[in-house]
Amino acid sequence: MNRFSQIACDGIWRQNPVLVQLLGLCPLLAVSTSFVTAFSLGVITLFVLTASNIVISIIRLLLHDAMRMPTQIIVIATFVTLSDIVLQAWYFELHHRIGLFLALIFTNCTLLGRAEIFTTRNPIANSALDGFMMGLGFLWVLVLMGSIRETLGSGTLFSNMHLLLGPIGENLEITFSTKGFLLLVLPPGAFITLGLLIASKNYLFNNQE
Amino acid sequence: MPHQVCKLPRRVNEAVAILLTTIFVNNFVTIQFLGIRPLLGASQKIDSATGMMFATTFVLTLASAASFTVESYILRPLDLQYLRIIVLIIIIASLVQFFELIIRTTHPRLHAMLVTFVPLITTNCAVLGVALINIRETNSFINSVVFGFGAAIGYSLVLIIFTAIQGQQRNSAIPRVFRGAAISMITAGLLSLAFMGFTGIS
Amino acid sequence: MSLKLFTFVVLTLICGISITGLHTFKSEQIEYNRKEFALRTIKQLVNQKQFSLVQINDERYAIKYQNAYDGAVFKIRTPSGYNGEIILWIATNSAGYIRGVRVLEHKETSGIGDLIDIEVSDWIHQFIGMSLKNNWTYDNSDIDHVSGATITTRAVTKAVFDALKVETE
Repeated sequence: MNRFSQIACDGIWRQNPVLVQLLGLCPLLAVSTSFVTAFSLGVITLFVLTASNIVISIIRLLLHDAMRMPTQIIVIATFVTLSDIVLQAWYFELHHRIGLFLALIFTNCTLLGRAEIFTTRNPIANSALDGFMMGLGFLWVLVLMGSIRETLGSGTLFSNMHLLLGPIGENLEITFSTKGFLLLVLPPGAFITLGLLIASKNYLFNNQE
Repeated sequence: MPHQVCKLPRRVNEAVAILLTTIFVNNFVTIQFLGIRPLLGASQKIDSATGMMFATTFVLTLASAASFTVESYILRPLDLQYLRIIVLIIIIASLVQFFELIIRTTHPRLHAMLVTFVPLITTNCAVLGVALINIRETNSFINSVVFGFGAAIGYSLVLIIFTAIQGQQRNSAIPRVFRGAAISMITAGLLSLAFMGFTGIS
Repeated sequence: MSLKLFTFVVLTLICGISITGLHTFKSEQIEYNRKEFALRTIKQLVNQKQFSLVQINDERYAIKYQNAYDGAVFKIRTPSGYNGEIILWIATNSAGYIRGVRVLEHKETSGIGDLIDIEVSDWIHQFIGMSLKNNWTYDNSDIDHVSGATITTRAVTKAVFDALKVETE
């Protein structure tokens, strides 16, 4: 149990994929312009990471370590393609917006999945949990960044939620102001927001110790 | 676009436009956010930045040529476009390995220079990114090669600027919480702001 | 070794089958979504309750109302946007009035030139109901050119005007 809580803590906070390991920055910076895109991509990453970790750790029992790269590439790419098809079938307009970065989560998952699965001899439950927690760590930073950039940059929150939730989402939009601070929705805003987030993380972390 | 370029035939004109756009206007790092992790990793010393530069140029150009060929001669005719992501990933990964092998046997010295960067590149978002954007944006083989090359040049440009800035920052008094990744991100943000100034150039 | 290779081949097969399976199962839905997505903008533009569209080619649909021809929806392009090409849909009626204009693709600077995009502002609605009788000159135009984004708005206005002129003749 202790080991489990350690994995959870690592994924979400201490070894957070974004704030500490600086992984997955490309999709993170690109889709965090609004809450809805950030949340969707985060959830997909969470799914792909967990699912591929489980599959790879099962297959790993049967395969030699030399086959690890091809195995990993094929399994992760399959899950990415599957989510791509699912998104196209059920959430076409959302796919229209985040399609490119959906493919790019492949690179993330390869990086994130690698270390934990292949360097230590983890049982399946551990690596599944690890994938889930890493995904969760990615998700919360992504959602936080999406919310900050949308709120300050465009003055709204939860806009276009109907892309994800259907008709229920139409009225969820909260408008704070009609004008936003433009810089935050532009590319530089992404870098600066992330820089400030990492700095705040460092601040909290230093105080903890 | 410069005046004299406009007199050239349309195809050359188009290629030059693509080159300039990918280098400045849609710069891979500062505007499209591709390949940031290797940027942070390789920007400690100017030597490693140069090595990374050559390796990236090579791989990105190769990847866009490969992606165009695969898309227009295999996937589209066979109506297999839904397999695009997985096919591109596998093909690019194996191509990079294959060329690494060729260079290792034919040009050992060049290989020794590049070898440390190959793993950094195969896990680089920019490689897959260039392949996917390329399919969406360009329409001929030449254009797609130019697109990949331009993206790589733009990438190298930012890499060199970034390395130089980081060299300067080593001697400055940065607040403790900002040290490391945080200040790099802010720097990248300001660089990106500067690159936004190129918008409208084409 | 052979067992390992076998496992690997089986894995590849399973992956391939699952992707192809899901795609075959859902391809009709995806194709439908794609068409629907492309047609939705066009349908909004026509601005009328009952009508039918007849596709003439990829870039032009004729609008029919009670079996009579009542204008067209067609695609126009202008290379003179601030950052390059802007692609628009424009819908007209048989009397030469604009039913609506919508930007399909653009690369204008977000926050400045992207006001032509319906998701950003209502600027593009100004064209509704205009015809060649309106004043289209730059200096005293019936179109409100936005300061800071004049290159973009002029490019769009000129493109719409030119298209309307060709269409009416």
